[in-house]
Amino acid sequence: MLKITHIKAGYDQRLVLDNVSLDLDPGQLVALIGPNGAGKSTLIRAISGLLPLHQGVIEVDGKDVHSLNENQRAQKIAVVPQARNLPPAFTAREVVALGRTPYLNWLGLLSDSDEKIIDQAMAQTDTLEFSSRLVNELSGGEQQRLLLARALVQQTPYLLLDEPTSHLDLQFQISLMERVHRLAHPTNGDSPRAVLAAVHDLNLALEFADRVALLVKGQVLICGEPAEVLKPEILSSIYNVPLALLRDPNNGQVAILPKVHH
Amino acid sequence: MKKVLNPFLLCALVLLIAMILNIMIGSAAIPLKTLFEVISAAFGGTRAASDPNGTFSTILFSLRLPHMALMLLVGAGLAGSGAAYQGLFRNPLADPYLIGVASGAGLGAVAAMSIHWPFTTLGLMAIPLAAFFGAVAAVAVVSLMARVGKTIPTTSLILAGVVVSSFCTALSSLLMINSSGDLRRALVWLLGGATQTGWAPVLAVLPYILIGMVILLAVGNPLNVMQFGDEQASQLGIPVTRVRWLTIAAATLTTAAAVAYAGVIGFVGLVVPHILRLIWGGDYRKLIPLSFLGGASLLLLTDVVARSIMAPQEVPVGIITSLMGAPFFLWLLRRSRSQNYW
Amino acid sequence: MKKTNLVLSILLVFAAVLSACSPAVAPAVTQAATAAVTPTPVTFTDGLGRSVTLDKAATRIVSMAPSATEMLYAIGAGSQLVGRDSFSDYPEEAKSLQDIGGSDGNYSYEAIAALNPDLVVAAEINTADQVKALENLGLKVYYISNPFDFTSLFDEMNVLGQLTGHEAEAKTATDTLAARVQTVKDTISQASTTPTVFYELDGSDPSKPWTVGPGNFMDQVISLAGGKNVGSDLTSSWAQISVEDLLVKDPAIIVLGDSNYGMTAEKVAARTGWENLSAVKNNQIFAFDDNLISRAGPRMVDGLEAMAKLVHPELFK
Repeated sequence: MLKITHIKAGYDQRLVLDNVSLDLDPGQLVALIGPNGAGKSTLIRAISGLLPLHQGVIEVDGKDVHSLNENQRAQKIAVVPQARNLPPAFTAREVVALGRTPYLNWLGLLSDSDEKIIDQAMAQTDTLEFSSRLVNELSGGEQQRLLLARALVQQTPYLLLDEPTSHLDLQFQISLMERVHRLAHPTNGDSPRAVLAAVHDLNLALEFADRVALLVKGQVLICGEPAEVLKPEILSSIYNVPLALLRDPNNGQVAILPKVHH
Repeated sequence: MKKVLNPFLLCALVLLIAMILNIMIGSAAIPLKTLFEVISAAFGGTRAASDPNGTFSTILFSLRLPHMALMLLVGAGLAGSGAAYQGLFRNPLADPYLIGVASGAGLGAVAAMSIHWPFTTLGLMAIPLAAFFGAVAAVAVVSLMARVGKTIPTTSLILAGVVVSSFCTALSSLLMINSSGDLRRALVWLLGGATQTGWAPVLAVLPYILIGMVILLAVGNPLNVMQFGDEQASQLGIPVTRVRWLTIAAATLTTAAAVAYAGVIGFVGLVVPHILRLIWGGDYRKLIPLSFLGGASLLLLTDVVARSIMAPQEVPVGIITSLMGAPFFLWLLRRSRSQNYW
Repeated sequence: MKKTNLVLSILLVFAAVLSACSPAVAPAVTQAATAAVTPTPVTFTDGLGRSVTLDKAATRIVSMAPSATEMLYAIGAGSQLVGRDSFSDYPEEAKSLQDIGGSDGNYSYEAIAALNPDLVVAAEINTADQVKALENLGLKVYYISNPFDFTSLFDEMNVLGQLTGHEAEAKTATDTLAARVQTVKDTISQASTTPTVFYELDGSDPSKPWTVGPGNFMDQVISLAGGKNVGSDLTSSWAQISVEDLLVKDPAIIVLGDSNYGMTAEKVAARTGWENLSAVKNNQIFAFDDNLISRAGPRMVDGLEAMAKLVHPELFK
């Protein structure tokens, strides 16, 4: 389990996370939602050990994240950042291969089993077809899938995604969330992972998450099942726009939408 | 398909050719046949018939062989350090002298030259030692100036490097002007070239350059990962600050030793990684060891030119590298504009 | 294939450049030159404190500096010289000797080794590294510290005489030179004035020309010639003097040590501000062969005589 207990963290003098507690268990996809500036990216940075904590502790499988060195942390926690400003000279496969870094010898050479793991991850993310193309020739969606593959080859029990869908086309948003959901609920016999995904789109959270954590001004306001959290009463005041929950009569699917007045 | 020829084999072959040419060519004309006879005679402990006075033997074993070994080590060290710095600073203009090694070494050497050392083993080591310490001290000052908390941001390093380099250069110039007679000597040193002969300089630089090279090999993959930024690198398991310190330490030791005994030889550390990157890409796990081979080859070849182009004058090799480096670099620049190799 | 082509073309360029380089020296076959043989081994301590022993007179000598070359010829050892540095151009015969480098500050040790010398003579323009490099080749090196006056100059010449089997000739040469120096001294003792002399080493920057400072051989020559060196209160042996300082000191004569490099009296007179100097007004600007006083060798005596005639023309009618 990844256990975040009453943490306070921030940058220089500015406190961004103010008393945040959260648990992540394998087999669960937790969606992290909240308005911009609430601290979603900061929380992900903190969990991956990048930020010193003013207060509180983050434990992964019983160990304080800050007691581990970078290599040990990278074998436990993998982060999928937003696909922005990737260095152009790498091929797709080379990008994914970087995820094996925590397991390589001092010369950084890949073994046959490393190559197999890379093949598998790229197959899982449908990125094998552009293996040898340069990253800067790929679309945003393709780059994002690459970063997911990179995180997958890290073979970590815990996976954090920082707004992975923000600049993707709708179909890629859906397919990415489906993949991510499958990582928490694998059907192929792999061990289930714990996944935390910061998302902007409330409906993606509603549709795919097992639990939703609402982060507002550095605090977890509420964390629970999507239906409990994604209620217009709670969210309207936070997003400053009236929201309504709509149900598709044909299949019972629920969506949360802003009320638009004409 | 892409990798028809194994790059390492090719570069090793080029290096072998460069080594042979370096031993073969020099002010004294030694026919190839005689060269073989002298070498085989040496194995048998005798003197070759074509070398009655042992002159060729002396030239080969006391001059050419140790000089070749020195140039090999220096070239490898400079190019490897240059490649690592280009990765570290993510800057195509980075060379091993970026953060003050050359100017610090120059200051140390010029300061030592203004003192009349006794003609003893220690006295002869004085100038290279002073250059070495000057180089290391300059980088230490730069690193301390550039520190922000526990990290050393690369932009601060570059800026601090500029500050310290200017200061050292100014101070050197002042010393040179004031020491009148040694002005010429200091200039010759600064132009690059080995002033000591024999195996002593080789043995002196060997530990530093070898250790430096081993460390530089180990930072290959970390440098690759660090191209994605400090955050992602850290999340992928790279201890970013430690890798920075290690890279700087390794490159500094290597370059300081090289400069101490071979003077300031420019362009090798800049051009070699570039040429190799254009041919075989920017994977530092490959680029750094290939740069060792390529740098050694380039310096050995330019050294041959330096020693023979105006024989018996021995042009300081730093002049030749600069002369050859500039147009090469221009050509590379034009060729690479279409390609995205950075 | 494109990449292989690049590598191959780089190699071709190198091959082309290398084929243009040619070796310079064919190693010599050892031959003993005829010279008088000193019967017993001689040992001297040279200018670096090194003990140098020769079992017999040197017969194949390489000179690393022009001052050494000139000394060797002056004591009659010229025929034993087999190689000399690039700057050795006097006497004329020296030019036909094998050049062993030195104009870039670097010598060709291969060229020196190929000549198989039994003695290498170095001077103060040579560095400790260069002496060590020669030792590494198994060669005997004798290092001459720059003489600081005529007495030490003659002492060095006599040592060289013993090293090369020309003891008697060296003595004769130095005695003759000493006599000439004495003649100048005697003549100058009759002088009633001590004109100030400005000896210009380099006038590229007319606002701060380079001149001779105190305490070296050149400064001495000016004094012995009956003049006062305008740079005698400067802080180092070679230093720049500001034109303002020069105007204040107002030297009586200007001696152009840089005339070998093209400096003329007209150019000096044309310099801004210099027209106010007495020496310029009275047309007392003279060309001078710098080699006569910057090379610490036998021609210092020629330099002394030339300088004396410039400073006190009235005594040398």
